[in-house]
Amino acid sequence: MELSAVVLSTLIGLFVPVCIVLGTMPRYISFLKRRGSVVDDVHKLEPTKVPSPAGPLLFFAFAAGEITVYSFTRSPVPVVLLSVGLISFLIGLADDLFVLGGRTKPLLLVLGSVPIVLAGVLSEDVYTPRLFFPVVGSTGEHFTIYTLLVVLSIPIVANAFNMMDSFNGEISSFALITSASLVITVLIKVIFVKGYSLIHVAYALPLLAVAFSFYVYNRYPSKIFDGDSGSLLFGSVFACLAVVEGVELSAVVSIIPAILNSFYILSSLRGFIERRSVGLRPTYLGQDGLIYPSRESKAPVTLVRMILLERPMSEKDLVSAVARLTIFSCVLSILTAILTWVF
Amino acid sequence: MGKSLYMIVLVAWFLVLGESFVLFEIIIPASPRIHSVGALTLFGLAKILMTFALGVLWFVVIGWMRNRYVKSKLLLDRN
Repeated sequence: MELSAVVLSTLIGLFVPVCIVLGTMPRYISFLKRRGSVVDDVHKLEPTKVPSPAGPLLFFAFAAGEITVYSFTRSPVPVVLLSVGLISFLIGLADDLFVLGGRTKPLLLVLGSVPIVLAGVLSEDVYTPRLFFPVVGSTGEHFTIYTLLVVLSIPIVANAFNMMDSFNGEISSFALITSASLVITVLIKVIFVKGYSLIHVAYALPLLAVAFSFYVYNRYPSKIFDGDSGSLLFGSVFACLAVVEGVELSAVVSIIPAILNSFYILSSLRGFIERRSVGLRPTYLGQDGLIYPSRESKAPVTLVRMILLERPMSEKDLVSAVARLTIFSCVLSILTAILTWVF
Repeated sequence: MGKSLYMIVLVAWFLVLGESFVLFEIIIPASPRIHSVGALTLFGLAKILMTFALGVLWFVVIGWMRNRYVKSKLLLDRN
């Protein structure tokens, strides 16, 4: 494939989702309001309703981006990404509309890994079952263990993203920072690994484009929420990209705040429980408009509650603090990539 | 936000890299392969046990850091 075609598909893969989300979101928000599809924004003093879910529009924009990349490359990778995204989006949408159980959702999300495993069996171009470590380089091929980890990665990462979706702009800034870090990681690999084509950047750009344009509407004060259909889409596509790009370790490092958050929640709740059925809340809104950490010892320990133990914060400051921690983990992720691909 | 949470992320980074390295470079390639001798042999069970130990190590270290962090903040608050 010629370099000009690769650059063109990369640029179009970036601009198509941005144009779709930025161009149609205001009308989509009005549509949701007219339908009465709104939810409470619980971290505001005044009763506030916010349209939800943005997931369908985000998926449509992401799909348009990947279809554009596919039309240029004819590679199976955009098809795999699209299939994984579609399955997770539909599970999320079912949760938005009917509320699935705490254990049903992660179990159903295992289905999201089927397209990757199938494509891996049918084609050698989709992924290689080995990990690349900083300094020491590549491991041998371990198909069984690697496939098992791929199957587990989709529900784990999608749920980790989903658990980072509690405050205005939290999930969109998290998805934006981590997907930007993933793109930088892939770029480092493109520059320093011979034969690793620039087209790999094009596969990752639609996710970054959707996260960026969604952030414009989801940042504080949110004009729309993504719903589970949006957060599961972000998480599953991120996990799938890490596998097909062969940057698994860097990708895991970049989402350490989300991994810690889900580990803390699951260990304090002792299992998967639907968030709406959790009795004690980890945080509460004070009369002064600041968010406070719960002082109840049995309340779930979340990353946000740990941040708030330093001092109570406004919602905007709290999301900024989460974003700073995410940027720190993304710096470690890029450092991991440099140590892996440069040395 | 203080430095403690950044320290937890840093420790998690070392654990992610270190534990995956031990799993993929030491435990899994150790001969004989588990699918050739079976999981219910002494060697197979030892490999499974070592993998499990990596999970326990993550649980203990990250859990300990969280408990220390939460306790220190709550104690500061009471004082």
